Amino acid sequence: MAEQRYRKVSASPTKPKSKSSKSDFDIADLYKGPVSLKDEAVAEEDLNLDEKLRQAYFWLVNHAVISPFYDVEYDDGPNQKFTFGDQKVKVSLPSDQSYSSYVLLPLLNLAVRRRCLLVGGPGRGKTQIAILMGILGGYDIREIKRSIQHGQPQMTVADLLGNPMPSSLISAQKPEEIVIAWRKWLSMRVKIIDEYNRIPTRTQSALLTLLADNYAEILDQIYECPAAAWYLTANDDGGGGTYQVIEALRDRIDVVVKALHFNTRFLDELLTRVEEDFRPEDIVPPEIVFKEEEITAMNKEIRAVKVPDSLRRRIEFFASQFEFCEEGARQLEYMTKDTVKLAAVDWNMVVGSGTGKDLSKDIGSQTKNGLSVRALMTCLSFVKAMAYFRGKKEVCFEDVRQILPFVLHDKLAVYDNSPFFEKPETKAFRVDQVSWIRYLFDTSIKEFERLDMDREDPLIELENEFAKGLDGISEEEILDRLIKIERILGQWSKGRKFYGHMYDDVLKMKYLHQRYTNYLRWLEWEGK
Amino acid sequence: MGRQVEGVCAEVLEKRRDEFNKKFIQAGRTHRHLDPEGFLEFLGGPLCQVVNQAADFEKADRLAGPLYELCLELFCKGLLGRDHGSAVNRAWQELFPAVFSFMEEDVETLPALLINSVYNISMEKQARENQWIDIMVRIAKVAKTRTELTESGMVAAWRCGMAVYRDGALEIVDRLGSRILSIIFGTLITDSQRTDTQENTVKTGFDSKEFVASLKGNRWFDPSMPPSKNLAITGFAGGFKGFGGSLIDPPRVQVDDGRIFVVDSHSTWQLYADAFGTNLRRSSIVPSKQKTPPGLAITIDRDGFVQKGEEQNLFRELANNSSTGCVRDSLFVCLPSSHYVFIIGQRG
Repeated sequence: MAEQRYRKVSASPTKPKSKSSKSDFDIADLYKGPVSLKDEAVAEEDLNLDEKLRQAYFWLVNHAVISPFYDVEYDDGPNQKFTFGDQKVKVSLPSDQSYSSYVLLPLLNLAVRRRCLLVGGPGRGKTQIAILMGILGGYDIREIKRSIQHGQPQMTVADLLGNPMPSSLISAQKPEEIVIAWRKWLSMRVKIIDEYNRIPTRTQSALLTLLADNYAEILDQIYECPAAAWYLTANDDGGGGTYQVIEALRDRIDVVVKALHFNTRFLDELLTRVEEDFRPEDIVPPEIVFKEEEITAMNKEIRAVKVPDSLRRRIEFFASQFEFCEEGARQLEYMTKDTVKLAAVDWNMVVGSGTGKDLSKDIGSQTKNGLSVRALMTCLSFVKAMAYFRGKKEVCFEDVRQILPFVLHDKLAVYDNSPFFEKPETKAFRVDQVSWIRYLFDTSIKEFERLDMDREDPLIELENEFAKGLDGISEEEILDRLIKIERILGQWSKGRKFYGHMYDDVLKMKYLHQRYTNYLRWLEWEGK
Repeated sequence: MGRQVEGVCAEVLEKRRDEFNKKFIQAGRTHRHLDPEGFLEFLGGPLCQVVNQAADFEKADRLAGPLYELCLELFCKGLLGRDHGSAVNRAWQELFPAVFSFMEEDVETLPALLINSVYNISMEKQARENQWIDIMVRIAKVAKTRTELTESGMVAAWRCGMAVYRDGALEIVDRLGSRILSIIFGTLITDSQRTDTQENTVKTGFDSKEFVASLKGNRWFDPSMPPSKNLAITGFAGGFKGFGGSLIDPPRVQVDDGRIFVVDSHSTWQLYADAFGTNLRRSSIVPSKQKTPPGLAITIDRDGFVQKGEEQNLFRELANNSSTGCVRDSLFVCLPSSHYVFIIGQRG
C-alpha cells in the first residue's frame, strides 16, 4: 500500500545551484511543467552520477532511515544560534544544505569502496543501512541478506572463507590440486560483516587479510576478491564485544559512523510501517540503484576532484602536529610517539614531565599517536567524495572540517591524562570523538592563520627551489641555499618552543640541507 | 455526489475499480487536501467525456489509465478541482475532446504536454492561456500530425503573449502551413504560390512568405494592427508588486550583450518583449554597467523627445526619465516615479 509513497525519489536537482549565465529560453520548455512526463524517465539515464548519489541520499533520509540528525553542517552566510542550559549547549541552524552522517558516510563509502564501521546500540538500524547499501550497490535483497557474515564466537576461518572439497582432499597429490568451495560473498562488491567484534581472534586474522589485501587464502589456494565497499557493524567500539578486535583490523577501518538514538517524535513513522507492514529495503526505487560500472565511473570522478594548494597546506599543518613527542627520544628523528609505543613503557612515565608548551595550541599533547599514511589517504578520498557529493569540482575547507572526525575517529587515540581534558569545557572530548577531532582541526587552523602560514611559510620557497632540480646549479647558489636553511633553523631555535608542526619542517630542512651538502661535495669532486 | 457515469467509460471504471481506488488512497496519504467528491465528479464529467469518444472498450481502456493518473496528479497538485475555474479545467473540457484523435495515438504524453503548456502560459502575467486553448481547438481540426499540432502549439504560445519563446517560434514558423498560421495569428494568410486568379484573396490577406519575413524583420509587427512608421509606446512591463506586478520599486534598465535587463532593489530580470507580449524572467546574471554606445538606433532625451533616423515623436509622459536602454528596434525607458518599463518601437 505504501509502496508508491516510499518509492518517490527526490526531484532533481537535489542541490540546486545558481543558474548558469545562459538565460535564453528554449521553446521546448513550453511543454515542461508541473505534470511529469514519461519521457523524463528516459532522461534519467543521462543523470549525473553525483546527482544520483544525492537522490539516493535523500531517498534514504526521507523514506528509509529515520535519521533526523543534521550533524554534517554547512552554512551559506550567517546562521541562527541558540544556547541551552548551564552547560551552554549550542544549537545552530545551518543555513545551507546539511546532512546526516549516519546516512551520508555509508553512501560515500559505497562510492569510494572503502571500509565503514557502523557502531551503536542494538536495534538502531546498523545492519539495515548496510543492507540498503548492498541494494544500492546493485544486489537483490535476498542475495545481500544471504551474504551477510554474522560474527559469532564459534565462527571459523572456513565459515568465513570456504571449505576444501572433500573429494579433492582425498584425491589431490599436491596442495594446488585441492579444490576450494569459496564462499559466495567473497565475490561481492558490497560486503557486510555483522557484529565483527564477536568474531574469534583467529578468524579475525583471516578477515584482516581480506580487508587489507583483498584476497582469501586456504591451503595455499588464493581467491582474489573484487574491489568492494565494506560495512562492518559493532554494538561497542570501545573494546567490548565477545572478542577484542585486533589492532591491525581496527586500523583497516576507514570511517566510523555512529548510529544515533531514535527520536521519539518520529513514532508516527514507525506506526505507519507497522500498520502497512513494509520494510524500506523491499522498495528501493530502481532509479537510485547503481550499476557496477556506475560505481567505477563515480570513483574515477571522485578522484578527479581537486584539493586546492592552500587547503592541502592546512591539512598538512594539522596532520603534522600529532606524531612529534619531544620527550620520546634524544635524537630528532626518533622523537615520535611511535618510539614510546614500541618501547612498551607506561605513557605517563615519558610524557608526564611537561614541556612548558601552551596546551591549548599543542594539540599533539592530546593524543597518544600520530596519523598513518593510510589514515591520510583515507582522509583525502573521503573529503573528495564529500565535495563530489555536494556537486563541487574542488574540495572546500568545510568538506575537510566535516569529514575528518569520521575518518580519524579510530585513528587518533585520546591521551586521557592530558591536562587539557581536565577543564570542564573540554571534559566531554574524552568521549565525544567527533567533536574533539573537529575541535583539534579548528584549533590547528586558527594557529595556522595566526602564524600567517599562507604567506610566512619559509619552506614553500625552499621546496620550490628544490623542486626545480639540482642540475646546473652553481656552487655559489648551493651555498646560498645552505645558508638560507641554516639561518631559518637558527631563527627557529631562538627561544621558541618546539611544537609538533615544526617537527616535520625541521626534518624537511635537514633533508634539504643534506641533499645540497651532498651535491656540493659532488661539485667539488667534479671540479678536481 | 458525482454525476452518473455513462458509456464505455463506466465499463472501464468498473473493471479497473480496485486499481483506481488503490491509487486514489495512496495519493490521499501524501495529499491530505485531496477532495474525493470533487475527484469523482471530475471522473464522471470531463474524464469520461474524453474516454467515451473511444470507439470500443479496448481503446477506452487504453486511454483511461493514463488519463486517470494525469487527473489524479493534477488534483494532488491543486491544479484541478471543483472550485477551479482554471485554464487547466478548461483544457480538459474543451481541448482534450478536440485533440482526441491525436490523444489516441499518444495518450501517455500528449495530454501532459498540453496541460503543462496551459499551465506555463497561465503563469505568465501578460500571457493569454484561454486564447491559446481557443487557437489549439481550431488547429486540432486541421493539423495532420501530432508534431504539427505540438509545433503549432509553440508558435501559438508565442502569439498568446510568450515573447520569451520568440526566437524558437520563428524557427518553427516556416514549417507551418498558411492555414495554421491564419488560425494562430487571426488573419488570412495565403500560400505564396497562389495564382493571380485568386487576386482578391491575395489582396485581402497576407502572403505567407512575406508574412513570415515581416514577423522576423520587426518584433513590433502585429497583423491585427495597421502598419505604421510612427514611433509609439508598443508595450510596457513590470508594475508594482503590491498591485500584482513584479517589481518592488521603480526599476532601471540595463543593456548587456544585446539583452535588456530590468533591475530593482531586490532582483534582476531579463525582459522579453514584442508585439504579442512582454515577459519578465528572473535572471542570475548581473548585467555589466556598460556606457551607452554612440549611434543608437533609437534615442530619447530628458524632455521625452524620441528619435530614430528621420522619425521622431515627443512623449511628454516619458520626460525626466531615470534610465534608458536600446536593443535593436526597441527603446526601453524607466521613470523615477513608475514601476513600469515603457517600450517604444515602430509597428511597421
